[in-house]
Amino acid sequence: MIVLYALVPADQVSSAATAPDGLGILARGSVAALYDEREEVPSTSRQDILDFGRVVNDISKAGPALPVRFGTVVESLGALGDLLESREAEWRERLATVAGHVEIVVHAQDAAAPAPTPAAPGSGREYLMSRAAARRHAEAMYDDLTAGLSAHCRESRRLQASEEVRVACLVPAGDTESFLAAVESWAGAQQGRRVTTTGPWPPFSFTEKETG
Amino acid sequence: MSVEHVNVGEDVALVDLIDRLIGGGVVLTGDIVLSIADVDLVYVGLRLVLAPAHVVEDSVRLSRPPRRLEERA
Repeated sequence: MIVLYALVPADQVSSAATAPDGLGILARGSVAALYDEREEVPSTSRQDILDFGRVVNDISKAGPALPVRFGTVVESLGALGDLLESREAEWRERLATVAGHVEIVVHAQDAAAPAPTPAAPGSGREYLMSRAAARRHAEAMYDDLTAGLSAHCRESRRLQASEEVRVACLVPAGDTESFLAAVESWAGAQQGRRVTTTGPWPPFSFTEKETG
Repeated sequence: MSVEHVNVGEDVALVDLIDRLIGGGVVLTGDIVLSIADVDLVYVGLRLVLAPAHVVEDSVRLSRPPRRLEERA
């Protein structure tokens, strides 16, 4: 079976010698897939996930790349070729968008945010009201955060998180310091805000065009 | 105000990396046929995700609000 790692511009990996980590290359048009052909189903241990991440990171350092979700396999090179042909235009656009950018994830919390559940057990109504208030607060914080960082992000995506606002930002690789300064400025604008950032990562969250 | 940048390899960064490796990246929709014997494939809508069952179960569990059984008592 074919284990997929990333999609890259075809001219970036024109020969097997340029494929990182001994991966195979299959190109269709302007997009190439980097893959590993295996006999057995890939293991899904934590170490295997991290090893996969290391390879994807190496690929991204070499040039624009769209990481493929861990554990994605196709049954044959023929199926992979068909896939590349059918989605080449979409992936070409995404590769152009992420080129020269990195992903930074921002975790934002607010000490003044209403608790998602009442401190003491109460009625069902109180519980729902608390959750609604916490949700409204999180929505307002998300809007404020993305507005504060929009000048420094080419794109952003909201990530799922239960007790914080989490946003992935696509930042020009050379502008990460100014981005972090903007994050610091946003956090300092209001008491109680706590922000953690991680990255730079390959553009995991920007492999699809934003919808809606 | 508190701002912290976490270097790759530290705990939050590690969690983010694993989260993005499993939850981000290019997703292939159901136009590809998987034929892997003896493996539990997990289908999420039209998306095909090959993941260890405990990861999927944890993901589902985390996406649900905690039940408050005491309210029903």
